[in-house]
Amino acid sequence: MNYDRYPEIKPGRKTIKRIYIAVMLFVVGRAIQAACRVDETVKKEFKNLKDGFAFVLGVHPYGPWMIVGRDAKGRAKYMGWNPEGKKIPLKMSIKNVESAILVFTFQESTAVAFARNRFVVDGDLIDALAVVRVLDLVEVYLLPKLIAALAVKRYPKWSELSPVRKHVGRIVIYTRALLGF
Amino acid sequence: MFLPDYYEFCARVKTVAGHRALDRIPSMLSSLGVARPMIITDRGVSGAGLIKLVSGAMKGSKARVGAVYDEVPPDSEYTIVNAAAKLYRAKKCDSIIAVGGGSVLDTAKGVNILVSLGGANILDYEGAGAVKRKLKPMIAIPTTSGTGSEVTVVAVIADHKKKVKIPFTSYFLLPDIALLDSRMTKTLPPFLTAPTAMDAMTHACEAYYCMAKNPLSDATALMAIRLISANILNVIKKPGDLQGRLDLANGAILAGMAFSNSMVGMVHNLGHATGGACGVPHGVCMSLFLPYGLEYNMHKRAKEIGELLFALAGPEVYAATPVKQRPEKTIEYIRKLNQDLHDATGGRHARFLKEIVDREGRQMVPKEKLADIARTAQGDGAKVYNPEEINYDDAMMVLEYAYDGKPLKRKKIRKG
Amino acid sequence: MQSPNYYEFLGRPKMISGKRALEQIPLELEGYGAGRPLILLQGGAGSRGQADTITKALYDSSLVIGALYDGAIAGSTSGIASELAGLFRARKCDSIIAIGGGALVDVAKCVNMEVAEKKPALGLAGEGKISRELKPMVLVPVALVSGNEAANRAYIDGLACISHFLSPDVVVIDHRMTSTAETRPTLYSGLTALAHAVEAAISVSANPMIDAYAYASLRLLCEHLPAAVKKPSDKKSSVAVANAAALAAIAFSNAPAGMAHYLAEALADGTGIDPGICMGLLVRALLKTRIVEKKGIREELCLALAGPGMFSAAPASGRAKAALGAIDGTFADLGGMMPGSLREIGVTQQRLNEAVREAVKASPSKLSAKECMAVIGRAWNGK
Repeated sequence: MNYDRYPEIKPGRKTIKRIYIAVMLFVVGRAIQAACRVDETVKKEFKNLKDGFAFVLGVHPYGPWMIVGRDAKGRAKYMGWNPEGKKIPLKMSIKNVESAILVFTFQESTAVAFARNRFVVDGDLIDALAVVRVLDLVEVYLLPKLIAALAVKRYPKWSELSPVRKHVGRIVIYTRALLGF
Repeated sequence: MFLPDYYEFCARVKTVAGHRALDRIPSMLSSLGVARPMIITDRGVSGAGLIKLVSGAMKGSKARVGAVYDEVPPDSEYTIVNAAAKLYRAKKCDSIIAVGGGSVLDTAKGVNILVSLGGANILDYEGAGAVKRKLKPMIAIPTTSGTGSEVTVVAVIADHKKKVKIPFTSYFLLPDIALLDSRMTKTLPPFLTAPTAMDAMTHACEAYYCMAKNPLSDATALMAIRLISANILNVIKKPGDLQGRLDLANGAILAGMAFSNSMVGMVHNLGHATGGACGVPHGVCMSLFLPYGLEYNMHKRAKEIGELLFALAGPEVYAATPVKQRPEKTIEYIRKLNQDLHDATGGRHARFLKEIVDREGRQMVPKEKLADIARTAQGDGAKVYNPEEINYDDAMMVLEYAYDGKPLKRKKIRKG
Repeated sequence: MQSPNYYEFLGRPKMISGKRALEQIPLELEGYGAGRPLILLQGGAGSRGQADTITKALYDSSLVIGALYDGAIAGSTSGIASELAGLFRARKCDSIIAIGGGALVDVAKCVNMEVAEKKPALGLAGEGKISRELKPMVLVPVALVSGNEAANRAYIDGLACISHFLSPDVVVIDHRMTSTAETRPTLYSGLTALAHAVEAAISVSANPMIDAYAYASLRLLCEHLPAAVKKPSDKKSSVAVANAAALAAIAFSNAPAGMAHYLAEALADGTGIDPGICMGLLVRALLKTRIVEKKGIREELCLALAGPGMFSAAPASGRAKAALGAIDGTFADLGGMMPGSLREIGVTQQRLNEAVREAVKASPSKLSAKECMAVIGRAWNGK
């Protein structure tokens, strides 16, 4: 057998999908920061987290990543894409790019993705669950109902999330997320 | 048979089960290539003479017991894990034999993490996925037919100071061998047999309707329910019935395989929280919340809940019940079973929260604790796998009904 | 339902099935500390596409493919096994991914034995000759035609090696691979799985675990095999049949091979007749014979075949018939693909005696020649 006919293969990268995920992560990260200033529930979730809390969410093993932390006042703060050199107590990684695509194209809700074992959580599970609740809420703000209803288990009723709260919140969150303040 | 778009299933545990399965220990130890196992157990188990049975069975083996740690409390915590790991290292052991109920088995899994991967504090390995490689050989010998911990990927270890139960999840937490011997569960008194067997029953029922269900978790769940349902009352009335004991043990391990792979939902969510906030034993919470878990998820899982009736009540009842009525009948059946167990144990099997008492007869879950439980439940992972969303208000609503055993008002369930 | 006095059971492979399942492979291997697999897939018309699919699925991981062998593998011989073992060593591989079924998977397992035990695989033929964990092996089914792929055995030069170390560590079922199977291999896989699951559940080793695996496997087969055979490219049913085949293999790993298995092997030996078809016909005849001779069929097996609905609808005495009816129904749905008897596929009546003799000789558990004759006769005659 001529072994040279069967060379070593170094698998490449899926650049376009990674860029898409990076953009989504960027928007979601900044949206969390914005939502924390607009939405009472998100604000409360962050208040309850420990001082110095931060989490990184991204794709195993090469990223992209996004980091959100809690500042001294108990507010969410988007801390960029590079986890290196930062002290981050909670790491939530999606096992691979394709699974991340399923999540970020909303073909799989966070709950379904968890049930399908697509996430690896490294850190305090109680904090991780708080993050999942925040992500669900942010999705409700960012996405049209048609899509968000797929992404969360129970789309908040109008009684829970009034139209004014949602639409004004949505506009403010979008503006802040994109402009970054 | 339901085949989901995606699933994973792993139950890589060699099961050795029978009336004299312990006799196989020497060959099991040699197949694992170990010489100095450490026995981890609790005082109750060693007091009942069960460790003697195990060490007696080891006589024909070249392996010698390296150490015995028998101080695992009923509701073990991380400090115990750390202490046992220290002993393991001091005595240069090379493997673990865990003999006991859920608390002992979970503690042993925690010890295995520490002695295999290094470190002094088990809490450093928190999170799903922190344990990423093969651990030391471990044999699990359950003495209750309940938790199924001998075949699950989870170890739940408490932190009493923080009043939480922390789950450690990894495929590497699966023991190498699960050894079921009917002699090991024979001495379990009826008032403990009831909640532990219902614990297993709950695993199987929840596995059948929760979000990661798959063909194998469904099949193992159905077999488990059939075995448990057919034997639970008989064994409680006749504790020495070895065949019934073995059937329950097999039911429990099958239920463990099912829920370890399909995960669990509201019943465990509220159960863990009640255990964490009020110190109620796990099995007691399970049987009590099971009818509520079924009711709460009914609008999303009517078909599955209806199918459970077959395994619970047998083919005759199933065939005689019209399809539409099967889900309600399932719930009715579970409530009736809890009542029967209550009667058969002279009232010691609790049917609702108000009824749970500790050894001194004090009420363990006073009404003002419900808010505490609901809050704790929000930090428990099982809520993720429940078909319907459960937020604080939902949990509070269910707890109030479960407090004095009233069925849920279906209108009050918020449907997503 | 009652537990046996004693049993052992090991369901070794981790099952991963469904959407984007292939992409899970790198992390699974990482869990074993491995990252340089040797990939084997069957050379031929579809191999280019399969090679592309698997390579793309491994993108964005830290894994490096040591070598991807896509040459033709006609049979499992010590020659090809040791050549590929050489390739494995030359590339410093640390794991194996086998994509396909039949001889290819046998070869993959033999390569694994050679590199892990550091001696020719042929020397490890027999039962329990392997002493240690082998290298991590991932099986990606296309069609599991021999029924051994996900089980604890491999063949080399016609000899069987049996050890639970030979079960794959992970079985990854993804429609991108299963839907490339052709009609006949799909049918053979399904019928072999059916026979293996039934024979495991009817054997003396039957236990609650085998019952559970057989239940899942047989329910999937009854519900999906006809659709998969009619349209092998159908995603859902091809995945279902691959699942059923893997689960049957796990049940089969924990029970002695039965009468239908040995008779089918004897009939197929050297005749070019497919053992899968024979097994399907024989296992039906076996159940029918049990009913005719009033020996009965275990309740758990009846349940697995008939499903809870049909099982409950039948009176207790009619459940075995309901089970047989379920097999007949599945065969009928297969339409023209499923022959009605051994006679139709060219087995001569003279062969029957011979086959029974060979089967009795080959089986380590004593098969009754009389019962074998009754079963094979019934299968030969058809209904």
